[in-house]
Amino acid sequence: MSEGLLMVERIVIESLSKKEKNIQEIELDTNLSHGLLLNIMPNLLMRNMIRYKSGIYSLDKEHAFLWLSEINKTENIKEEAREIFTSLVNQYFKNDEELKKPKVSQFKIQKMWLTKEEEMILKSHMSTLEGFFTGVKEARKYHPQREKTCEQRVVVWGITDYSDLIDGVLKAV
Amino acid sequence: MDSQKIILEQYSLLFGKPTIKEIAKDTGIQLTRVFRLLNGSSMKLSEYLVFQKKVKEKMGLSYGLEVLAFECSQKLSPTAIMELEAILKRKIEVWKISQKQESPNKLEQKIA
Repeated sequence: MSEGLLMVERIVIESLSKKEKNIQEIELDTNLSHGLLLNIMPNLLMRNMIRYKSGIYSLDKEHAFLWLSEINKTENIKEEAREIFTSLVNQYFKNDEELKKPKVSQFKIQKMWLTKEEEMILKSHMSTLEGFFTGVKEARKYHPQREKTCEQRVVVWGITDYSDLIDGVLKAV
Repeated sequence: MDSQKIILEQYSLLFGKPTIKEIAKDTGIQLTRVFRLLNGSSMKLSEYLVFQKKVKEKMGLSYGLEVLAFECSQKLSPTAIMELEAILKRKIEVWKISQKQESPNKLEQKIA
């Protein structure tokens, strides 16, 4: 296995980055089952990403430089992004019977020709969106709402040329 | 040659030590060819795949993914193969993590 993180491992790291926790607290914060966590935690311990003392898990900040640079390598982030996107697509296309709760996933793909002016307007909208996300994250630092890690919304967006996408698909063989 | 021996042994075991005639009928390989294979002649890839398919069908295993993976390994670029490997490795890692622990206190016992 590469030295990157699976999504299920990253949510645990994100949970512990807020504060140290015992396993029940991690369970509540991540919505991962106890059994699943019992499989995840030893892996993270072995990789010196987390510590365990008297029932409490915390991030291993001493070795953080080593493992952070490893998990955030481009090829590892690329695989995580692929995992997120695949899961989003699968989640969106689940039928109502498979979903355990009301559908919250949205998934839109748009193709259009844009004039130069429209391209600039679109870029402006995307910057505004990004500014909005930055603002929300800042607000959470000063006004935490006791949100669980697992209750975060995941937003995926991007833009590219249609021909580049096709080229990419043809070259990926 | 080892793979050939293994697959022939598996086939023989699973099909209750069939006769050469029975093997020829089941696999579609000519009787004289089956005789030569059982006596050490090198197997063609197509013949190996026939035996492998029969063994996996008898064992109730799907051969689709393996044949597909083999085809990919033959036809796709190294970059594309690495991409597929990365996807499959992640699937396996998630599977490993999803396997149930026997005892809820196993982790605490391991660490203590």
